Amino acid sequence: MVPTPTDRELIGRLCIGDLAALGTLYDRYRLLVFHTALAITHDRQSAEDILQECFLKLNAYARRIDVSLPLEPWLYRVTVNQAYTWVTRRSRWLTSLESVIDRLVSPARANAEHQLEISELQSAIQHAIDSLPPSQRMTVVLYYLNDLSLKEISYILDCPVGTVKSRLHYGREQLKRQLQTYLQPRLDPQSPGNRSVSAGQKI
Amino acid sequence: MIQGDTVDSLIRSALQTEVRSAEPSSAVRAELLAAAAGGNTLRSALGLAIPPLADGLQETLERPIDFSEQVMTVIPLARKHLLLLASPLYALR
Repeated sequence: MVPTPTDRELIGRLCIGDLAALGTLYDRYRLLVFHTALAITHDRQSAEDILQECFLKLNAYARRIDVSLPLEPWLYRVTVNQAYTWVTRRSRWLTSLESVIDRLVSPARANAEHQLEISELQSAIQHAIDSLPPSQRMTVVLYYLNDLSLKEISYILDCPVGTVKSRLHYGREQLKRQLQTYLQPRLDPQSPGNRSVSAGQKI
Repeated sequence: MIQGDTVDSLIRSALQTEVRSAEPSSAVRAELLAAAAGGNTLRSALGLAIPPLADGLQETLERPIDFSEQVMTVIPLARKHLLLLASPLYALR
């Protein structure tokens, strides 16, 4: 059985122009990069562009990578850099329009009503995340999607742990406020939107 | 009132659901290897061990402002920006 090559070995091979090593690294880390980029951009095409750019940079800078350190933080940093550029350039309304169209043309499922509610909630959360300032948005995605620790995020974003905590706190508070507005009519039976439903249930 | 734990689980669930089954197109891998083989990448000896953050991502005002440091960095920054602006114009000529 052939032992799996380590990242260190693969980067060493990449330095001497072995593109098979780039392919192996891509296979190993593509989802880490792609999912992070997709969660930030909500745009599949852009996430693929970021993915490709990230591994082209890995190829270009292979000689300068410190192989004594794990590769993930390097990949995360390149990803958030690329995604940040995308976020600041892309007009937000276009993204929302595309995501609405995607949902409209997606195939119907068995429990359509339930799915619609989930989709609405999902959409509300995505919209809330999109409305965060870029630095909070990156922090929220790295924390909640990638399950990274505050220390790891502070290294990737090159800021003190206290700053990460602060961004996370304010980001979460803003998301909570926005979700409160969305969920309150569904949770509170006395709210105007739910009065008829409550009355109907009693009958 | 939504509890903090609920918010956490809603955010985590929404993000993970969105990307869970998403896979990049197989064309990305092929294009990547073709671009790398074609030398489309810039192999630079000036590359960094870990790349710097994109401009703007770093929120400098979150740190205490050191005015003496600012004065010292004005000139090099100005030169750098001038150089960055000059190169595309040069290319047009």
